[in-house]
Amino acid sequence: MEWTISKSGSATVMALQGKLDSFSAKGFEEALLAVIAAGNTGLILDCAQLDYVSSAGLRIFYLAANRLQNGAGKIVFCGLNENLRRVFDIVDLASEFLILPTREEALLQF
Amino acid sequence: MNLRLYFSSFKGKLILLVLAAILLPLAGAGIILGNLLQQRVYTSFENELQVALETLELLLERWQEELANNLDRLADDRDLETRLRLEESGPAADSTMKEKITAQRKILDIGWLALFDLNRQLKSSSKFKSKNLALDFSALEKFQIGQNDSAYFLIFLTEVKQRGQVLGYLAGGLQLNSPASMVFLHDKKLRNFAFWLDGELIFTDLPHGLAAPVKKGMADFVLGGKSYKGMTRGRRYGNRQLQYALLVPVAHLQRDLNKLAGSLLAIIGALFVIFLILLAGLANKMMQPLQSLTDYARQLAAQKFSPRADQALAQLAICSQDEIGKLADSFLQMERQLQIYLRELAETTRAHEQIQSELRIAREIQMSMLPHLTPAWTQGKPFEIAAAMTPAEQVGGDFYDCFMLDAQHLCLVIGDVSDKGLPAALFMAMSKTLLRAVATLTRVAPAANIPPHEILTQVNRELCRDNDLFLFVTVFLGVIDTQTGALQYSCGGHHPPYLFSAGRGLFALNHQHSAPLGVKMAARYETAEVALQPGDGLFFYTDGVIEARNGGGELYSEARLVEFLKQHQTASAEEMTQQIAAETKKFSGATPPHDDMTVLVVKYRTA
Repeated sequence: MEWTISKSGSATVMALQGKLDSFSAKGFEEALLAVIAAGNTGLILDCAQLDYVSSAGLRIFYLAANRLQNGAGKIVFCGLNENLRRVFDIVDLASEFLILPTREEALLQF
Repeated sequence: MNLRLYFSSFKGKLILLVLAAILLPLAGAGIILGNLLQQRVYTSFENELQVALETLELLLERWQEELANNLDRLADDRDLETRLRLEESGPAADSTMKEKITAQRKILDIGWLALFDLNRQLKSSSKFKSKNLALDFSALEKFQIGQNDSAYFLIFLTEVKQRGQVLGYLAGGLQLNSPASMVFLHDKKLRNFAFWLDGELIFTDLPHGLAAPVKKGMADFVLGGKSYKGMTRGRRYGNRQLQYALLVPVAHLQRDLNKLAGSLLAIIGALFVIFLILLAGLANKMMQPLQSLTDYARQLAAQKFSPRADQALAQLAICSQDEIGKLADSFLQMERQLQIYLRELAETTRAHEQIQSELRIAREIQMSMLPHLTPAWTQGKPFEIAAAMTPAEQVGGDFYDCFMLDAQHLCLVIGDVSDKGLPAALFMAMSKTLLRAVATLTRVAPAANIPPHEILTQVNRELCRDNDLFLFVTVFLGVIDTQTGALQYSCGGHHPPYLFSAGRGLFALNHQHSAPLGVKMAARYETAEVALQPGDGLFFYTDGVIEARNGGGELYSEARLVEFLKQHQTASAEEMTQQIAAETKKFSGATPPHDDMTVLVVKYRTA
């Protein structure tokens, strides 16, 4: 799995690519927590290129949400494919995070 | 010994190098030495010639004197001629004798000849009044002045006069130590007409070099296709110049030279062989430490790198200051490092084995935590049930549970802890224990079970406490009233099970989306209900099943699962459990499972 980090206004955009599973989870967790630790409170996770998320990946999203809410920030997801959307629904991440179709719409939130 | 192998060794190369370094200058020195040798041989030959010539000179003087004294006596000696005539006419004279006599006579036509031996004794002489000078030289050959191996040679001495008239010239014989000499025959007019050369008489005009004025010192001559070295001298008789020469064939000189060079080469060769033996010995000695290093390394490997404390090597490392000594030192250091490394490796291996063994025990504990669904357990109950949990690693985060809440209510649980491995296994143990504890111990009233969503809510709160790592568990929990077939269930972020029914077909149970347990303290769970008909079945699974991958990275997918269920819904619970395991295994092929996989199948039948 790969990711790129960019700034867009007050939002920090992480574009994810590939598979977020047990193997890639640790590296991604460190990267994401580092972004939050750097004081970025507005986070967009662009999943347009993300094929798959395992439960190990979902755990990171919960963890990130928890960290951000302590600092009064928020995470917006965008570009989820059908499979991801289904996984997000099953574990009710939709009630936890704002999930929008495109990055443009996500950017309007900040 | 294989010579090629020897010279490809370091030792052999060293020897070759030294030989090259020595032989190249030696070859140069040899050429110079050869030239010097040749020069020396020629010089000594020249000296010998000089002496011989001087002796000859002296002899000539004496002979001249002697002959002058005896000339008159010789002139008056008619005996010889008389004798010759007698022999010619004598009855006993055969043809050979006659020929001989004729030859002698013809020779006598030349003039006066005298033959001397080494002691300068006059052996025979003859005088002849010459009328014509037509000469038969083949006769002269037979005259054999000096037989082939008795080295008498003709030397012109002096002119012979009789009554004031020059008859010819006298020649004398001389034995020389030199292997060959030559002399010349001159006619009355002092023209050269023949010369005697190395036992061979050659009739020719004199070679140009000899006809020329007297050369000084050594000169080269080519006569009759042969090369000679020699000296010429001149001698004056009246107003005429007489030349004579001492010549030695170059072949003879060369023979001497070769003999000398041969013995020299033999000495050099012997020295060379001795040198070679010494060199090989030295190379052996130099290479000895290298050999012991090689032996050491080989033995070290053969003994599986156990400490050797090689005394010879330690000695070598301390005493020898050269590269091999340093190498030995490095070897010893390597051995020390190797031992440290091996010890560490042994410790690591031990630690690893310990972890592995602990993991095996953990796996046994985990597996024993899952209920054993023996036929005895379902005996007499209105359902059949089968389950299987396959962790991706030694231990996993999946679990299932089924237990009777009371005589009537069957509680079914399937759960999946986020991630896998040991952390997930610990969280799984906690979740499973809590779920069963809350389900069985927390009773609102006797015979009144708490609804499934309450169980999830309470367990969720318990799991959320101090869950800093945000591990979570998805849970589906259902309670079947085995009397009525009513199924009450609640879902915490888990895939809902499939219900397969002869009358209603195949469908996933409806459920309210809700968060998994452990991440959200305020999460709300709801209870839903569905009625089971006798013969209906439930298929519970974790995402490891539908996310099993094949070599191409393709997921087994829910669609394939639905297809599987359609085809196998008539099978028994046990068969279904085994077949889905076989099916996903076939689908994955050689790709190792990346997540835990659990299925739980329940088939309801009337009591």
